[in-house]
Amino acid sequence: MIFPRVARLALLVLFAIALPGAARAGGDISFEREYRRIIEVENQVMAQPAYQESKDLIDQIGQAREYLSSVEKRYEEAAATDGPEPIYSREVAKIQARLNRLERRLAELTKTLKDVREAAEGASGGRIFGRAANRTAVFTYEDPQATGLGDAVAYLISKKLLFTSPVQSFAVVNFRGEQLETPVGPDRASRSPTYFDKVDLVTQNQNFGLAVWGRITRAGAGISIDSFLQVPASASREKLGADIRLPKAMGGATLSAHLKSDRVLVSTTDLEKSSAENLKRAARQVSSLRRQPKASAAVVAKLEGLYRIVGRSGSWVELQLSDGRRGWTSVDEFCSDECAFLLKAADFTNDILAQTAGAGPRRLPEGFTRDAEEMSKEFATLRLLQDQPEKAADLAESWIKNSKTRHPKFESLLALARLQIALKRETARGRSYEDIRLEPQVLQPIVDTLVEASIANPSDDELLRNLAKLFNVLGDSARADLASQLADRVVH
Amino acid sequence: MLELKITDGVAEPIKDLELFPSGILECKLKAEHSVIIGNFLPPTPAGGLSELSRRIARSLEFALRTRLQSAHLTLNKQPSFVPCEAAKPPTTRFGSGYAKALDADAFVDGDISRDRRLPGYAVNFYVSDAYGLFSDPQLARNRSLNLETPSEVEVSDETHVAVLASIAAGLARKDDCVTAIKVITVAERFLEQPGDNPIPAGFEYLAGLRKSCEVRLPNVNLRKNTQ
Repeated sequence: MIFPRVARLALLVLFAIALPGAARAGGDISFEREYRRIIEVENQVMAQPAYQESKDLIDQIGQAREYLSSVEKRYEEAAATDGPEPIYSREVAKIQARLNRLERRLAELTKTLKDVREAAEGASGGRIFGRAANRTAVFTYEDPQATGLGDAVAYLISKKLLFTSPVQSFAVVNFRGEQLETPVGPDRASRSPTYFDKVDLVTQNQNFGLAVWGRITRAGAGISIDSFLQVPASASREKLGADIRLPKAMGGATLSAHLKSDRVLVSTTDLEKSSAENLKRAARQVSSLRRQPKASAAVVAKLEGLYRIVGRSGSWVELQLSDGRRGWTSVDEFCSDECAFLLKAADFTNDILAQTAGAGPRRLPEGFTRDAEEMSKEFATLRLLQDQPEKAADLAESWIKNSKTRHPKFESLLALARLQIALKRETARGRSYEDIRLEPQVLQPIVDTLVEASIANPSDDELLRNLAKLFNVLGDSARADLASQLADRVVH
Repeated sequence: MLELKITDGVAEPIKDLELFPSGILECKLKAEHSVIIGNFLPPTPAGGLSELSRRIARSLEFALRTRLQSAHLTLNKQPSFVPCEAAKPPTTRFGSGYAKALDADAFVDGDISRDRRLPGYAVNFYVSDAYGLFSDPQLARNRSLNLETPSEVEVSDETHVAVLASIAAGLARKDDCVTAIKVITVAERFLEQPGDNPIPAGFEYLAGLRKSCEVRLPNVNLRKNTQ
């Protein structure tokens, strides 16, 4: 029976690769298998001599940079008192040359390791629906108290996401598997990754834009279900940020701001114990493909593996499986009341997706956490930053005013919005953008706000890099260097 | 546990001499950060209230671990929540000494009573820290808790905030104010919700802790009036 298995696998791979760019597709695969596959690939990479050499090089480069900065400081001090001393400039040139050599070697090794990783990835499967422009992963909900609902909840949310997606070229992969045993890699001997870390690893390896997962706990006589939206660091770069390029007269540097809310508790659903069975039943019903778009129609196939949407009728969708079979199913038909409330996590995720595709922000309905509201507001502020900085400033300011504690990410966004407003004002006066040079009395309060935000959240390296650039505009090289050094020291 | 210090044959004065039951040393962990959940004095009669320390430890872990992870706290900085039924300080004032003796950031204990007019139990949680953040244990009152369902005990936000502040104080003590501020931020989130009311009185210690951490950051040298 080897041939049918091989043929089935080939069909699946073909289906995942050949998906048309504008299609909406989904898949249900094993979380554990995918996680192990990635760990095995990483183990292969880490077994390479180039891996250890590159780690040593990173240390050496760090030390060389620190030494260079201390020599430069001594040079500046000596120059201030006794005039420039050639011995320092020779030393600086020597360290710089060594630094360049180390960095060149590191680039070579990084390329080698990338090739090894790609070869290993290719041999072990690679990306699922890699051609889809918008890819979201839904992971089985962590279920430490063994309620048995982890897969059912994730299944329903993944289908709701797919069936109501607001964007074209969309794929949702549902990673199943109630109990994920963690394999240990060579670098991980002494620590066991958290669920967030496991989700991060798979999400980043597969390059998903967003990930939804959650946690189920018993609460008194009922069950409590938390849903999280996770934005991998790799994904937030392109679609979830905004840039402000300074005019050439101010150095021409680019200031960046990206979504900081990246692990957000979106909603909490409390269910009676009796509702748990309803969730499982709803998941079973959704997984049954029917001949026609109605609940009483005959079941023709089970929804599993990879599939794509080929038709719609009301809340029903027609799906085609990778082996060519077709059938109808619906989430809304089988998941109502408390079950429907659970699907709010899918609505929120689709809302964020719609905004990445250009839709305007909308007011969040009741039932979401304050963290979800904060993420939504932060994203809306980012989207407005470049073209409508006045509105961005209003949003950031109102969030700060209505909060009881510090919110440095909004303070930082407010400062950037004010900078953009000042630049826009100068342009409106008829000045050429590249010639604008804001007066220090305009720039300094913006810098002061960013400094206070960096003290309130010292882990924000992006904010520190923005500060370094603005200190350079103000001609304050000492603080620019300090901001850069602090940014380099931030550990993610 | 008794510590005596003899220098040059002369016994030095010993402050805060406390004796701890030998059983509690088994609760000592090698983790960098830990919170010990001691004994909760049961009502009379105790009824079906068993393993409360373990259940409360689990509840704290469920409530706080994920929040700390969502703030990107690395694994070695995340606290362990250790149940320790044997830890029965004679009065709540001794909680801080227990935290120190067990190398923990915080010690949580409490007492349970029953008001027959209300459903469930009233539970007082006392949170003591090892670093002198609280001059007296922080008291959080939880009314109408259902303690008879073995699966879960709900712990109030006041308790969560005090425990998180103790962990942050431990990080600050180890000169890791960057991580301490991450933990303080998680604690502040509990104070944000729900409603539009201002932060209730009694949480000034959190703002004080934040301030004491912020002034120790090298980032303060970015201010205009420094250097």
